[in-house]
Amino acid sequence: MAGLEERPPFEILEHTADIGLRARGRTPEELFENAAAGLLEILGAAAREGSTDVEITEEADDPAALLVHFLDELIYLVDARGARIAAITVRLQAPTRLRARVTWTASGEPLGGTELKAATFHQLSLEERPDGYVATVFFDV
Amino acid sequence: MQPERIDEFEWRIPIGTVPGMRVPGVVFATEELIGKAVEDRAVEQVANVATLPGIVEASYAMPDIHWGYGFPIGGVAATDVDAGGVVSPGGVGFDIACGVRLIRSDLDWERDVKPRIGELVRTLGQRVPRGTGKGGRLHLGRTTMDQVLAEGVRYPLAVGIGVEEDAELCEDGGVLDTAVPEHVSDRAKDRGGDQLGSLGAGNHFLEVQVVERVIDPDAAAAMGLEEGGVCVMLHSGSRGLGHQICTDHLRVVDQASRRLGIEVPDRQLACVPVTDVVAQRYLGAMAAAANFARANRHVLTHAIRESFAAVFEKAGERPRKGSSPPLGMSMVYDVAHNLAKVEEYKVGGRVRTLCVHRKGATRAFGPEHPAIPARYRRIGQPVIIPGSMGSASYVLVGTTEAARKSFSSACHGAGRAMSRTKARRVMSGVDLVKQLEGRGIAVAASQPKLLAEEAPYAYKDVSQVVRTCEGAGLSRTVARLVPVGVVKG
Repeated sequence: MAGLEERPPFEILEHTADIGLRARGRTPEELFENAAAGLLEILGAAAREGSTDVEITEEADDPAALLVHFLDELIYLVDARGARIAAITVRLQAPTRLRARVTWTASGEPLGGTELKAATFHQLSLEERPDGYVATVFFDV
Repeated sequence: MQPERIDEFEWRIPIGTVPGMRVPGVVFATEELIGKAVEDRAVEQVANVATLPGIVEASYAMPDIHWGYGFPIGGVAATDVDAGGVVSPGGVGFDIACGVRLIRSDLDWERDVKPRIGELVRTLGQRVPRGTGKGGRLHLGRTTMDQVLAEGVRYPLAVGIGVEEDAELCEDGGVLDTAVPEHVSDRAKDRGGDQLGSLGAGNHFLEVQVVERVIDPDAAAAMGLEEGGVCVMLHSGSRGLGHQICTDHLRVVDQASRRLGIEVPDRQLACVPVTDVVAQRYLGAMAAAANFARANRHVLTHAIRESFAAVFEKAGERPRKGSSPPLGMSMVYDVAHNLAKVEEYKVGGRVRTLCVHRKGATRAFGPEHPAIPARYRRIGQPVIIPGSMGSASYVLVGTTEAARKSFSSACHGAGRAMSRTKARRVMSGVDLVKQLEGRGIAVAASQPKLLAEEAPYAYKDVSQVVRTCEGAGLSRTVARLVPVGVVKG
């Protein structure tokens, strides 16, 4: 399981009031993992090492909504539990069903980045392209 | 998309501008402000909102409009409950019942506060929990959380925090009795359990302000405001609890909306008829979040009063009556700018029950409205407009005319004009602190690195926004306040 900081690409997008993310992946799993890495960068909630493992299971009507629910789950962990996340492995059991393992440690310190309220459905997209998968999601700051 | 000009302060987006519009869009703006709204595509979002089932009259936007997610920030939409009108959680937003509270004092800037402003802001910085993450003033277990969700400010009052008058001077008397704590998930309760009495981060703040100019002496006197007087303005919301409630219910509404075949141009506008059980559950949870938000600002008010008392009140020096706050620190008013409310208006010749969404817009009832505190009945409901950090803020009152023009709504602030990243590139947080301090404004910030995101240059000119509201007849200006101390999350 590679550390998140070694993983490739996501871009952080500008929005008048909020922040967006464009993530890519060769597989849907990699797309979800890269989106998570982008989220952690915005939050400043990545950790070098984790002490606890938690399993997240999510189901949605469509893959884009699944991504929103997954990212919301991570925001919840960070906000409610003070989680600082060291690694995430995603397994898609179907395009709309996910199981992820999150390795994290609790922190009482303030976040290193921007606090986010939630992932939104605004201009949400998740597409398969010839070279892989691309998703765009905006967060409410 | 170029709206049609109606007059100096009003612009119209005709039906048909985007497919499915049921009513026109109306934006209250000057030529300069409408230009910005067109540029950042917020006007397109006004048109999108006009497609909501059951929407009546128009999809409105206030002069501080900017691009939001789904709804524009500054958007107002009213739907007819008895004609299939919908509620959209996105039209309230994630920070449910985020709002502003103004507290006055007997202290004079020059005489009392100026010599000790540094000490005051440091004390506020220490006593008011803020910034990201955990640590409110009150920790809530499951039972006490449910009490806050059901009782709003009545809960902290019952445990001896604040004064009775605080409830009366809060919108809805500080509690919405439509709250249903059972429709709030355990996860939302977890997320907010440690956050009651905490400011939060982002654009939330508290400012020590001085009344610079009284424009309406009669209304200002009713609010206890006079030139040179020191006030505190507080901007905070329902914290993680409200965010999680929106997240949870949006998910269900998104599914239900599609099941019902409701088509919206942006998925964040997902909605269901107000009479649907899914909508009723959302509205019960939303009201609970509103109660939490009011209780949060109530507990923060206590921390603010304590800080002032610690700095300005020596033992025995200023005897205090048991029922009145220290140093004359009474509330002026507390009003939300992210909420959906069921209100009655005359539309098409008859009174109808409407679900009024205000997303970054403030309720602004005119004189004689029964829902406003007795002491303001003659002048209209106070509307508190925070400027961007370090710029001026305003106190307005609602007008009778606003009921007809905007479902009794006015602006909510300056409105962003620049993205956070761009704002950080213009100036570092450290330089911004220096600049504010150079202007005599004391600053306490928990994340100085991010401070520049909220710099005045990242926002529109609040004075122009307020002038536009007055010009359009939505509100009247009572007083202008300037900051002398800023405490940021």
